[in-house]
Amino acid sequence: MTSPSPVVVSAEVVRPRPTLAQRLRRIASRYKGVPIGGSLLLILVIIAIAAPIIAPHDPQALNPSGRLQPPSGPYPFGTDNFGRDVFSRAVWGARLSLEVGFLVALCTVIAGTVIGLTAGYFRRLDTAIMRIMDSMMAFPGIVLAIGLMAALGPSKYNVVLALTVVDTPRLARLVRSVVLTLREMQFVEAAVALGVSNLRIVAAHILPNCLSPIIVQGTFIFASAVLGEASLSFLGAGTPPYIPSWGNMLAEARGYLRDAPWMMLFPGLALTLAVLALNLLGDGIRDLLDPRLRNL
Amino acid sequence: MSRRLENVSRREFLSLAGAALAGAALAACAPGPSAPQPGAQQPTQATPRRGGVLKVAIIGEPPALDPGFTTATITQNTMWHVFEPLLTRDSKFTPIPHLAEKYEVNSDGTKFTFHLRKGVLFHNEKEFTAEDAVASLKRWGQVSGRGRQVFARVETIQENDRYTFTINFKQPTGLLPEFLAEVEAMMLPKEVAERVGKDRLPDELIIGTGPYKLVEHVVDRYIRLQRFEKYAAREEPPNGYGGKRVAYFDEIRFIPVPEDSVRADGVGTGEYHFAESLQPDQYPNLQANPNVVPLIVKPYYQYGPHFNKKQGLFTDVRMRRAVLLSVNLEQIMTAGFGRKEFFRLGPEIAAPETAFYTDVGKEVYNKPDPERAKQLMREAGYDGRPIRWLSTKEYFYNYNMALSFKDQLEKVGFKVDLQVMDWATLVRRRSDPNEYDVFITGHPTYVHPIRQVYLDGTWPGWWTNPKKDEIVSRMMAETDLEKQKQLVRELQQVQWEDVPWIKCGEAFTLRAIRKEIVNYQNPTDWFFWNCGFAS
Amino acid sequence: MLAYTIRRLILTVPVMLVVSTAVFLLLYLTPGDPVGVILGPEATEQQKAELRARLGLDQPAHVQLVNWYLRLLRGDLGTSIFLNKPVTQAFIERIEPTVMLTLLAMAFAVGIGLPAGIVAAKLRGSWFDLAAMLIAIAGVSMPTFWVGLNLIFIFGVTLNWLPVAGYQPLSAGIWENIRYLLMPAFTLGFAQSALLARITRSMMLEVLSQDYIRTARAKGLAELAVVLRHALRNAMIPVITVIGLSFAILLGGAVITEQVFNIPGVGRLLVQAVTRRDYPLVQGIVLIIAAVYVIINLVVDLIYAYLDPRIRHRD
Repeated sequence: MTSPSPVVVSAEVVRPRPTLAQRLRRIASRYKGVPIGGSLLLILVIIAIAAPIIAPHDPQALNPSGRLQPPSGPYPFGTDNFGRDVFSRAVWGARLSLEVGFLVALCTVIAGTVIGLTAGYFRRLDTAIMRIMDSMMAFPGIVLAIGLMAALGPSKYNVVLALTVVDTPRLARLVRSVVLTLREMQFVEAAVALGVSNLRIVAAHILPNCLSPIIVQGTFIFASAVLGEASLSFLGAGTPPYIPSWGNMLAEARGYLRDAPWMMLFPGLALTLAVLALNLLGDGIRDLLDPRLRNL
Repeated sequence: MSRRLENVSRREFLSLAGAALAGAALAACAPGPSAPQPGAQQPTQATPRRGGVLKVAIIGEPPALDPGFTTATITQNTMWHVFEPLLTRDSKFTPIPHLAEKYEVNSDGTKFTFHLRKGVLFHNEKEFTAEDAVASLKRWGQVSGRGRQVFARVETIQENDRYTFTINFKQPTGLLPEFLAEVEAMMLPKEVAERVGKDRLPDELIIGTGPYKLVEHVVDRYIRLQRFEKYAAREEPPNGYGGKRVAYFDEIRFIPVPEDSVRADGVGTGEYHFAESLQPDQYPNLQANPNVVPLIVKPYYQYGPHFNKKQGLFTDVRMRRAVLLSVNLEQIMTAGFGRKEFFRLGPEIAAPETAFYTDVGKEVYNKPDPERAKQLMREAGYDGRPIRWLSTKEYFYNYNMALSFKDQLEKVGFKVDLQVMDWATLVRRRSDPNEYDVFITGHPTYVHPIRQVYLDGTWPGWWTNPKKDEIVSRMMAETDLEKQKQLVRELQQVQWEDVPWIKCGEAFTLRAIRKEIVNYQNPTDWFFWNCGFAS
Repeated sequence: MLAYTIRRLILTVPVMLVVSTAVFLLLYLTPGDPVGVILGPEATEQQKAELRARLGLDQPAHVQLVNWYLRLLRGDLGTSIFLNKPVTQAFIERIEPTVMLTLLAMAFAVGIGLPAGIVAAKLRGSWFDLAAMLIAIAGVSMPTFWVGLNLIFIFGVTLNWLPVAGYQPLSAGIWENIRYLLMPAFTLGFAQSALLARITRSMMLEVLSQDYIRTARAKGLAELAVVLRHALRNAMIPVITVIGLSFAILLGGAVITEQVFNIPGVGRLLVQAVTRRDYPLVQGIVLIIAAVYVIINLVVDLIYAYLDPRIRHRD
């Protein structure tokens, strides 16, 4: 042992004085990001709900004489190329992003769970279902979403639909794999032997045991859906461009990097913050609920 | 100074040092509304050196390299370095001979005889003769919409000898030169014209007579043209698009750059020498850059909403007038184009720089009257049904103008369902009368009014009006300029009475060129013969 | 193992069949008009109808679908409507930028992610570890296109160090090529490096607490040798799998990055083909990308199966 690192063997070594970094690290690892992510998310949810009160201006009102104004008192985040208030649009954008993200997570969880349970429990359907899921996963997500949006047309609910289609196979696969493991367990085999109905076995024994990975995965899907909506809108294949959405704002900002960098800065920060909150929350929930999943 | 090209506004003239020689052309310009602008820059006028590679950032990959096949402007502009028609346009946009030496027309406009220039070579080094011209025009008569329009009137077309040919018409067609001065009526070798027929020219058959020839085409990356060393130039000094054409650059490289800020940044950093179709908001940046000259191009295009007159809300002329009475057109143009330097208002369908300017319709143009509009809406029985308005972000003005229309119309009591889609969807949907009520597009202001595509009753929007049709058919036959002008006045009158569409204003486009390129003339449609690198 | 491989290979056939049918139907349902785009704004309805007929776009869906399958069987992906050349050729012309971008992005991802993860694990609880993991989670949360916009703003527009957008082919020289790809590759690779750092760190932590590491230390091996030779090698197996998967993710991410930086690669070709409604081109590209995805997934699964014999027999 030439240079044993005290940090690595920390489990056994009692150190009298942990450094500040170690203390922070320990706090972070004990609370697992839940409070940080959770409170960030809570703030964003409050902003989203209270958008009509918080936003000082109509996010869609044009003001041809007040275009591209830098941040100032009445316009804390400046104005865009139509003279619209960037702050108000960012605030309303929170509402749209969270709504889309939440709906996608909800729909994906429902669809993915049903499909995953069916495939995992009823083995006769497994191959067919999983081949379809595999086919859907053979597309890069963004490509599939762009294609779906081109077919469906730009609207908020079509974005929800497209992203749900993209995310469902991943969740279905996860649920199926958990179900496959559970099926082999003795308590399920016992229930089958006792002649308990399939529906009852699924509801009473299988579903509850799938819940924690579903919740964890649902949080990550929430995060990726917020990003997905922004990416689609950025590419012009998301919500209609006049709707205040962070992706739309960034798409508009692309042409004004030199003249109005504030158009790019604020919506991007808001977007990063929202996704960060959800990722922290997801990490934290995962560590709390199921430490075995930590490395997934 | 006679090299100074068309679309010369008064401002640009005044800012020129040697304005004396320009006097004659100045007289031809109607007094334009543009005010002199302090510090407006011009490209240096000097004799360029021979050589170098010019890099031009264009708005996107042309849908084809065959100007006969597609009506896309980007195809016309890149490929007229390669292909040449019999006629072209002078500084006042009037047709003048180009590959033709001259032409004769009989008094009633039913017989045209063309005399071709001798010694003009195609890029395959074969001489251009009457049989090529006849075959090329026949192909144009099959493939192009306007070509078909003309050839529907043609009785015979035949060569008389190696350098002359004659076209006989069933009906008087005095306006033929207007059509033949377009690149789409370009000259191809006979074998190519006959072989390709209605198809689009593949790259290996891109063989023209122009000062540049195609050497390489990598889709979405670049189109490379090289000087054609055996190019036969005209003798006359340059005049508009016509006269002598000299290829100074060894090579021109057209690079598709769909993002307008990238085009502007690229010309700013020297990545490109020329960039077209820039956002007006880039103007101050370009002005501040000592290596770049921003160019405001006028005349250019007029923009506005077209109504679906076949089905739905706007079959009633009162509804169309109500829209006109509801909006402030200056606000619309500001939303669309941002800066005041980039548009002018007025009812004219042909720019003040052309021979066909008239202000007929000024009593209804941009005279908002919301009360009168509401009254018309009531009379027409408008029930609050949303106006289905098609728009696209692929052309910035389109969405920007539509957004301002929505804003203003809803204040008067209309409901607007603004549908944003990509261009491919828009062109499909605007052809279907069930699908929409309004879409916005642009039309050139520097062409003969008969060239306006919306005059065709089968074009989206479907403007059918007996008075309009009668004027158009008289125009087609007319050979006399003064009578043409009278017909344009009548046409403009009908347009403002029937409101098939609303001309909101004319907008100018912004381009930028590097300082090291000299002798560039800022024409309405750009070209790069006669200019080059400073020596 | 061979039987398993063959079984898995056969299973990809129905997947590709479903994929190609789905792509066809999706496009068929998409409104829009390739003919209107090609012929320009002033084309007449008659011209459009004629071209549509010549391209076979006026035929009923099932006829077009059958034709599409027949051509596929001959290995023919069709001809691009807009580009007027075979889809395969159009694809090949655009592959270089995407491959270069993905490789360079991969280099960024691995070059940053692996060392950061190893050092963070080694210095667990230190400032470095904390900072690296904070940056990593922020990196995963930042939208790639926003990272790209910021880089353009800083290094392109403000400092003028790097070109704001565009691409120079390898034939223009390796340095020219890399100069144009530096920002896009970093943009694309950054999020993956964050992901890699997190996984490497947790894998290393797990391995470092194993008995054989203690044995190695007890034997008196140098710490560096312990980390590199024993710990890293064992932690690498799952990490390599993740690298394989991120390659697939990068290919998808290239779609947006190419769009932001105006790089004429496959992703941009695809987005353009969608907006131009170039049906054969979209179908062809998606099919090729899907095939690449399926192959990568297959290889990853085979590696898993090789490592974990239980999978082979269960599935």
